[in-house]
Amino acid sequence: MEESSLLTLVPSILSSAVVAAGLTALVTWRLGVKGNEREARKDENEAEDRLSARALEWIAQLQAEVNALKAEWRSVWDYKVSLEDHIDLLEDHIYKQKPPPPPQRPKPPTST
Amino acid sequence: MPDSSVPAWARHILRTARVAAGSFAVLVGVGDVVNASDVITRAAGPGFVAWWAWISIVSGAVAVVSVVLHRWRWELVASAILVVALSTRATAVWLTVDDGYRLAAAAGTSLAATLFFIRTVDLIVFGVKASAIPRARLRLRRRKVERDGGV
Repeated sequence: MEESSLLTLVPSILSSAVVAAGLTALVTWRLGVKGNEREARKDENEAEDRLSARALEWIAQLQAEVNALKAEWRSVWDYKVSLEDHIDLLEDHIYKQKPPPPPQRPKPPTST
Repeated sequence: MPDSSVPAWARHILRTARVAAGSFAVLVGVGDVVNASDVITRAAGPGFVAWWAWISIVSGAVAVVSVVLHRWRWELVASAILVVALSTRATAVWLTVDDGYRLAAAAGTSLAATLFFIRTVDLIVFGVKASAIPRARLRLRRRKVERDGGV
């Protein structure tokens, strides 16, 4: 390759960096990003902090919902087990031909 | 080297270094305008030498002023232009490496161009990150306008 063509090729290729820089500058200016670097970086940091805080809040909310669902599932499971025990008691009551009243049915959990 | 991730004292050092880098870019241009190397002029031609020299002077001065005034967009564009000017100069120096003891000079000019390139990429990344929230807001506003039928 000739020297002059190489000297033309290098700036031609690297001018894409200038185009990218110019586009970034133009787009950020149109979008209202501050021109002062200190203020722009401060804004960016604050935005990141706000997003992190919201994400943490959301995670805490989801965790609370999961805990509530687990507690509800636990009480339903306990009720199911008590119903199975109640059937055993009823069978025993019938088998022994005991008079009424039959053993009392367990109360369902209040939250369901 | 994103400024937001470093402490204040390091930011001051980085700014000082960037002012120094811009000043050296101006000096490169002044040197090539006032007393250009014969070897470089033979390799690239006086037109090319004058072209990158004046670009280095103007862009270097813009870079220094923008660093002092914290104007990151001006610094971004000036750094990108300096990458082109210094890389072209580095190419000319590399082309004359055969003449003798010019390897260090060629590598030094390439190093300067690379440092400005790092700053350019850093500022482009910063620009993309800083515009993420405004872009999201714009998208939401557009979606709202489409949903509400332009009301």
